[in-house]
Amino acid sequence: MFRGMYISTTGMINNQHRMDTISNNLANTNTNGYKKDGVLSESFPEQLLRRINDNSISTIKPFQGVELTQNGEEYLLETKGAYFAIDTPAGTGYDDKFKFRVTEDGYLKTYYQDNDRNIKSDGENYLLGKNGRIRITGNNIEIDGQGNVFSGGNLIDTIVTKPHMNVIGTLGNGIRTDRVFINFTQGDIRQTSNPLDMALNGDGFFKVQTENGTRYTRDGSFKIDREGFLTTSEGHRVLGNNGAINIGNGEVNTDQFGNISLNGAFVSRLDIVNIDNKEFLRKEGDNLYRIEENQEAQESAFTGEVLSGYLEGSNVETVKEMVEMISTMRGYESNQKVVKSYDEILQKAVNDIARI
Amino acid sequence: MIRSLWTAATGMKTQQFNIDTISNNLSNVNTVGYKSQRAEFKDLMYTALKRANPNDDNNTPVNIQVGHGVKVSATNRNMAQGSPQPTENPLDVAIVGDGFFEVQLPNGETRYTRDGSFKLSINGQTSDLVTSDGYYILDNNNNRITLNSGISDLEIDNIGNITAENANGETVDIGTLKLVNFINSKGLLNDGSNLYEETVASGNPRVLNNFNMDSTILQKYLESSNVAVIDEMVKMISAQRAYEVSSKSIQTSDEMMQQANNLKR
Repeated sequence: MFRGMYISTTGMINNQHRMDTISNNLANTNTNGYKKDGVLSESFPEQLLRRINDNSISTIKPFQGVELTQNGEEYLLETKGAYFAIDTPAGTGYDDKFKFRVTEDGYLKTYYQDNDRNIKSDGENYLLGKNGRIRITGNNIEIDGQGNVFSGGNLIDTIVTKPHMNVIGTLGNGIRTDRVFINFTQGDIRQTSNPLDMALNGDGFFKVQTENGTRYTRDGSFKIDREGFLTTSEGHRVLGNNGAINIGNGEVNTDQFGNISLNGAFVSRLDIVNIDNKEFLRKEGDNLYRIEENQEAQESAFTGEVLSGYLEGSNVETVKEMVEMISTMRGYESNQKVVKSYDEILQKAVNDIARI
Repeated sequence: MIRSLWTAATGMKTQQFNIDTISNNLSNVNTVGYKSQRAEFKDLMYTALKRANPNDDNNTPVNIQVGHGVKVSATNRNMAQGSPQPTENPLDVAIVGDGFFEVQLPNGETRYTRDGSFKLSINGQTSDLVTSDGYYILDNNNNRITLNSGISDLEIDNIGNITAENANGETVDIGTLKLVNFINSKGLLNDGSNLYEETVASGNPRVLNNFNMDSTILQKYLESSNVAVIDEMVKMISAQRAYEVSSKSIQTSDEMMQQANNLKR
């Protein structure tokens, strides 16, 4: 009876996180090079629900084997009459379906697609066997109808959990905020006619030198400091292929590859890179991104074009955010109604039933 | 909830500032030598709601980051050339290209301007070249530019040399307008009255002479304001809508807080 009250509360908290993110997106509708945030929610792991003090016949269907279907890199496990145990950051859960891929280090994990449609598994859930997480040693994987996992001809583990006879099924435990992802789609390009304004058309980042190390940015509204270096508004120097770029004074021109020339003479080439593991980029304010600690940025060549005299606007779509805001608001309200209903039931239980 | 309320408030405040800047540009649409300004924004700090756990073999990245809104990062001055407009007045000059005239205030400090609508200030038998506010224009030797009486046919050539005819019909040299530029002219401070002040960010003034000058001085022209009205109008519309949308965030946060409050009857 109380369980539902807490489940609704998780929904309210999740909607609060969503609202925080939407507000931040809407506040940045006019921020150059801003990339909008999205919230991904995930349900808490499902728990097996069991009857107590009940000796009647089990309602669980008899175990009907395990089916494995493969589609390229992606696998789908299904079973009837039994469950797979899944290790999630929030605890162990049970389900009769499990979609997974095999990671580089041999684990069977759920996956997601990043902005470039690459399949990634960081921070995702593991399939559990009897002896912990399943880890494959060979280069192939076979799972038989009884849930035994083989790799390279060796039996690794078994993955089927046959429920106790009093188990009647699984129950969800509500929702949690799983991750905030940055949506790196292109913002609109606006003309400013200022030669020091640069927009990137296509994936990539300018590199900026700060006192805390290299940072990345999409905001190309550059300035020149008193020593003639190209900087951001905060005075961080923009990096070229040979370090900071000294422009000095004169007519600055930048071509589509990021080659900067002064009065027609080549000065330096902007160090623009594409980052392949964007899921590890973190925002740190001032339109700067840094790579997550303990991670290396996988830089690759920039294939887009540099537009000098233009700036990239924010990629926040106001209409979408407004719709998102309305649905968040109403979701919050529905959950609040559920909590209130519980409150009314409790009131009856506490005040009315025991009245003599 | 409280967080989104304040986040949305930063959105409204910065858009208010944006409108302030746009209004100032539009007010100066006919100001001689005015350079339009643009407000630039950056996102504020982010809070990580989920901390990285070094003992976590999940390799779980910290990936619940919530931002706190937006701030004004700079007002960027657009130094693009305003178009020279003919005036037929020999005391009007326009600079085509980089550069500023040097102006001396009554307290001896120097300021810089692109407004070349000069006047003559009578001083006994002579008169001095001044701005509309009566501040002296300086020549290459940092002196005032003084004309004796009986002078006619004042001519200023394209590098700023001033000549005139005296009462005997001879051509006399009066001086050369001092023209300076800065390594970072966007770092100059606006002082009002079309004057700019040197700052740490702008660097020191460098005198332009006929060896290093690629600008031209046009007599009988004035440089008009470089404000593009259409652009400003479009910016105004988008600023107003951005303001509105953040106000909707505040309303929604408020309604959600109301819902939370209504949990307890």
